[in-house]
Amino acid sequence: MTTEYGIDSALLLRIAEGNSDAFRKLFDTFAPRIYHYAKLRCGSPHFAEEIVQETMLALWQGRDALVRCESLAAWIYSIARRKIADQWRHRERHDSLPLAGVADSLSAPETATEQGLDLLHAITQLEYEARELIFLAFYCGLTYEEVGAVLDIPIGTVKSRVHYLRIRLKESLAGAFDRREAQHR
Amino acid sequence: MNSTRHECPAWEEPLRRYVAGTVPADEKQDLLLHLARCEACRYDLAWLNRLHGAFARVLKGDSEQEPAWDVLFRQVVDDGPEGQAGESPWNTSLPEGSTVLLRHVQRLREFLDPAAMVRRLRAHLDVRQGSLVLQVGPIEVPIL
Repeated sequence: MTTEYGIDSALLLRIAEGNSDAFRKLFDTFAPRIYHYAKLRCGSPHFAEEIVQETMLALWQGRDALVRCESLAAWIYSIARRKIADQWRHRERHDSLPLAGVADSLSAPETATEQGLDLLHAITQLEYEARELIFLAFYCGLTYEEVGAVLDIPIGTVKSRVHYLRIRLKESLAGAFDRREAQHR
Repeated sequence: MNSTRHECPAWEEPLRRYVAGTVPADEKQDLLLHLARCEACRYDLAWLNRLHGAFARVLKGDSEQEPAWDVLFRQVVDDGPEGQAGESPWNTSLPEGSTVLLRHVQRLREFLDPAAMVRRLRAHLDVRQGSLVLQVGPIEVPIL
């Protein structure tokens, strides 16, 4: 495996040998990402923290397998996704609202431009699966192949969905822009 | 904005990864060269930057309440066989100590939730390979 997120196979080897200092590097790289992923899916900081802990614990306990994984990011996000699903099943929180309240959090004029708010509004209008796909593809920077591995869908499906979502978001933004222009006239 | 088709499909994925900061260094050089001469991709880059920025602003709002990563890390590695012996969460600094205290309160609450407790015990079983140790806060009770 090539260097990914600044983590190379030599570091993974050290982790597999039980070196906790080496594991710290992986932890620092991925723990905040997993935290945000979990928080965006459920909206609860406490829940997200639990998911980080359980994901990282699974990685640490299964560290022997780290050197064999093809894509580190896809693997880690897949574990996190399974942990979230387990928690949801357990807590029966299927009605959680990912990205709920996003627009509110940006309501302060000094922190958001009109365009930024338009974009967030457009995202919050999307269905849950689409928001997750957008987060993985456009915020986490996973490849299409990695996104497919995490969501367990073929790469061709990922590409077509991303393409479709880009169209939807751009159209939604263009509509918002037109409405604002009309208001200003 | 009105264009919905990517002008350079081959650069679509590298552009996304570039914005997210996950594009490998060797790919980055090629991408920058391409961007220098492709207006459509520069336009797309601006759009992607805005999309990424929107997410980043949402997440930034959480930054002050983010977990104490040091404490979390220690809990993860200390649960494993490579844990640092003798390092008690009760010996940490005051801010960390209070976070740990809250976590123990949470564990106490989990005590009332059998399924959550079973998950914790399974984790313990895995790492200790055969021995079962019930842990409540700083107290460990060997069961098997």
